[in-house]
Amino acid sequence: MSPSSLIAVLAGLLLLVLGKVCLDLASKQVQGWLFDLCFVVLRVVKRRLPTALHVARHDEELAPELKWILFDRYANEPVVGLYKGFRFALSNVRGAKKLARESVKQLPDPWPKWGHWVILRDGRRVYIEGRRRWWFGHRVSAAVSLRAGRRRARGRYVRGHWTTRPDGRRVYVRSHWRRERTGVMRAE
Amino acid sequence: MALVVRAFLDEPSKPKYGFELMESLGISSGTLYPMLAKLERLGWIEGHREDIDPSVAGRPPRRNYCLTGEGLVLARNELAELSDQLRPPQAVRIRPVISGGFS
Repeated sequence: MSPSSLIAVLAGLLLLVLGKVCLDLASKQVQGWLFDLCFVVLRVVKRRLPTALHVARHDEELAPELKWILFDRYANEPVVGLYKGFRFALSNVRGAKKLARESVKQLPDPWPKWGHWVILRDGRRVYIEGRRRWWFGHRVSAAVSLRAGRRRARGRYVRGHWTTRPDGRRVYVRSHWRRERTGVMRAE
Repeated sequence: MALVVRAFLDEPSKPKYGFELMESLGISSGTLYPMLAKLERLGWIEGHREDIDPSVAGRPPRRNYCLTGEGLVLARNELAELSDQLRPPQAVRIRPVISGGFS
């Protein structure tokens, strides 16, 4: 075998190996995108659920199940896992309204009908009754609003404090200039 | 619904999670989770988050469901009633009656 043909064979082998590696990388990348798509679909479920159920149903139940399906249960069969995961997410989109209907009735009483999330300065997220009121922008607050958490530079704060109710529940009391409004749906 | 209740009654003490029930019963997640929420609201089952360390267990903590004591009794009664309702009517035996005849 002449040296030039030997070099050609070696170059061919090198190209094959490189091609295989590139294909593997590309397939991993595409797999990651497709897995992400399942989570995007599941986020539609989250949007369809009331805010009070986001943590209990989406974050603590559906998302871990999907993660387990995709990355553990079918880790060796990515195509099956993708199929099952996508079906799981899509089916939940279909049943989200029903899930919300069935779950909302079991929320503890008193349960604020609507509210907003805030991030406390210690990092906890709590759900506070009522809409966000920017005009209570006192800097003595214990909480930073969720939006302000993203844009802290604007310095919008929610005024309030933590307290323990007679039934033992820890709630975040939002101070009002005339009265106090309470109602923490969930504290993490 | 009866299938889900039946699955809980088969092993009342064993906690079950959503995907396990989906696979064993062949129900889609969009149907199963509202059912579980309804059963939880009725007090037949109770859900609780698994207390595990994800880094040790190698998976995120699940939400497990267990049959409650009250749920166990109610579920048995309801299933018994349902099976009574669904039982086919007893076949009426037609016996030929010989009356009269030739002598």
